[in-house]
Amino acid sequence: MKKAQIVIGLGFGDEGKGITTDYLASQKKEAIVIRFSGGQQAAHTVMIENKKHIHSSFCSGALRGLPSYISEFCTFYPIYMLNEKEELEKLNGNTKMFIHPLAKVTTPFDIYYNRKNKKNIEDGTCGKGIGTTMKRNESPFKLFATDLIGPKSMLIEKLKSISNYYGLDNSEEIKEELEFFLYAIEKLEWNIKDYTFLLNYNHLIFEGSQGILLDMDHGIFPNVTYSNTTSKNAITICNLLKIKDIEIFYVTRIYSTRHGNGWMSNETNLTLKNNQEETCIYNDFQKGLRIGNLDYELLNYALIIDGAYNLYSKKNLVVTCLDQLDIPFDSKKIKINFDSIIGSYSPYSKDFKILL
Amino acid sequence: MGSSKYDFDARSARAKSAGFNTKSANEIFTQNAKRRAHESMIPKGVKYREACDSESHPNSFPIILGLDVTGSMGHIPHELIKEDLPKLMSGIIEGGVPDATLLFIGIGDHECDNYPLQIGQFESGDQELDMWLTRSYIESGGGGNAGESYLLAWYFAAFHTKTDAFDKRNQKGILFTIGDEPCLTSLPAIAIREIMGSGEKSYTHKDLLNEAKKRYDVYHINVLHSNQAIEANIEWKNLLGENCIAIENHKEIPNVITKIICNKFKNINHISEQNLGDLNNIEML
Repeated sequence: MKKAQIVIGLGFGDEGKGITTDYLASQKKEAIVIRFSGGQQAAHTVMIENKKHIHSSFCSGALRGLPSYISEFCTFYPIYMLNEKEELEKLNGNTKMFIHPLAKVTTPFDIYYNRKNKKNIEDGTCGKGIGTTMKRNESPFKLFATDLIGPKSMLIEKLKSISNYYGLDNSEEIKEELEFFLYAIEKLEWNIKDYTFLLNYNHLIFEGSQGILLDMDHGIFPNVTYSNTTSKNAITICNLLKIKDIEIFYVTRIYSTRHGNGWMSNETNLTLKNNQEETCIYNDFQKGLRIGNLDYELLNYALIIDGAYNLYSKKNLVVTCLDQLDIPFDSKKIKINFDSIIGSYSPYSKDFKILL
Repeated sequence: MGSSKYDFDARSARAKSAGFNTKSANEIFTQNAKRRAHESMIPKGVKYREACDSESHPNSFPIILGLDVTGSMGHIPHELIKEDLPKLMSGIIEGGVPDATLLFIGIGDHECDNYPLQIGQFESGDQELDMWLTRSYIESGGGGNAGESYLLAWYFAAFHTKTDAFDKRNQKGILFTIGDEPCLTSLPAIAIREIMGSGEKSYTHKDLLNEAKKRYDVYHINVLHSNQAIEANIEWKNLLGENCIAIENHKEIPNVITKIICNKFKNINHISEQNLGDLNNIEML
């Protein structure tokens, strides 16, 4: 029987979805990893022995040798994809990438407009064009994965109308980026496959992006992401494929994190150790990583929200970064019954331990 | 809209009781504390603002006043409500334009501000005009992007206003923008969609100016209180020629506006009398 495992962040992102996906991937070598929300803004870190890779367009199973699949709910940017493919090749990762025909393509115009727009910066953008791509796809100026394998002249016409949509017709500033964008499209191999392709696999690992508290429906507007970060989309795909055996892995760090603007509870200075491998570092758009004590009330809140999207799933909790803080995890404060609680004690998924 | 008369005594009494003269801008412009535009002035989904003839104003004459509500210009609406608006209305009415109907537009920066466009209704009465003016949110935004979205006023006037003056009498209204920065040079479809809720075409400022000019005489009053404003004047002159009015003291704004409106109106009437005169000279056979 086919089985699906879904990895979901319980907070504002940066919980440890990458390491958790790697943990699951290490147990099932014949699986495929599927992205079902967000896009190229992901920064999911996986470390295996002396190899380290931050997965962005590719799924956090690539380093472990698993193929990647981008669903219709995601965006991707061919330039980042090409760059990451080259990095992964150096590490002998699996660079096989399959994409749903309706996955949304980010263009240089989306990124340029995203970065230029002050309002977006205030909302907490990471400057990689996800929100602009999603919003543009609500307008008549859409661009899908299938458009990359259609006639090139048609793609050019579509790109022209997108540049006009942003008022960037004669912009010299992005000419170079546009040329590289077209080069990346030529250079990459496009395996455009609808969901029936996934039936070739008996084990599906769904890798979430960001966290439930950034969900476009559940976060606090406008500091939200333009995506459903709950298990909603993954469950939709499972239903289409008639997969009944579903297990969810909810991930939180032992402390709270938030990158970018917006409300967070319990924000404070914590003394962390063993955090030299922190991926979430300063960037110009979101500034530094904000941290605080774990808010159990918010954890329970996020769990109730997600529970509404997956009625019959088995549930597990993963608490990462337990080695970074002296305060222990208090499982009594969690009001949901879990099939297991798993803890991580280093940047390596081999150091996961069953706690309960 | 626009059927009420401007009652100077009532206005003066209301100004006193409302404390227009004594209260601070933030006390008068109550949206400022809420940090958001008034629901009724948000243009999303608005099809048309109409300037219609009525019994009390049979020859409605539409005037659009686009006020820059960004940082350095946010004091102008305050001056208008304090004393300039009645001055302006009396100038217009006494100057021979009894049926003027005024639409306030708040202008910000579509690249930086949350409310780059706020829209009132065409009105002639003192109470209604005060209401729309004080409902405006002085966002005081703007940004370091070398311009404000004056072109949004042109966009709105061109595509989202309907006037009996034009439809019945083929008479153009007058559109003023008032500010101290250059005009942003493009209005992308994405911004139009965000502001208006629909839109599929990007425009340059020149496109929009030409569209607005079809039904309005378009003016810009450039307040030369900074070096940037003085520099901006070159571009404004290129765009509007004589219709760019540069002033050094913002106190001149009501006089400038009154003068332009009254002159324009006299000319219109003059021309039509002349035409009539010519017709009268034709001998009927």
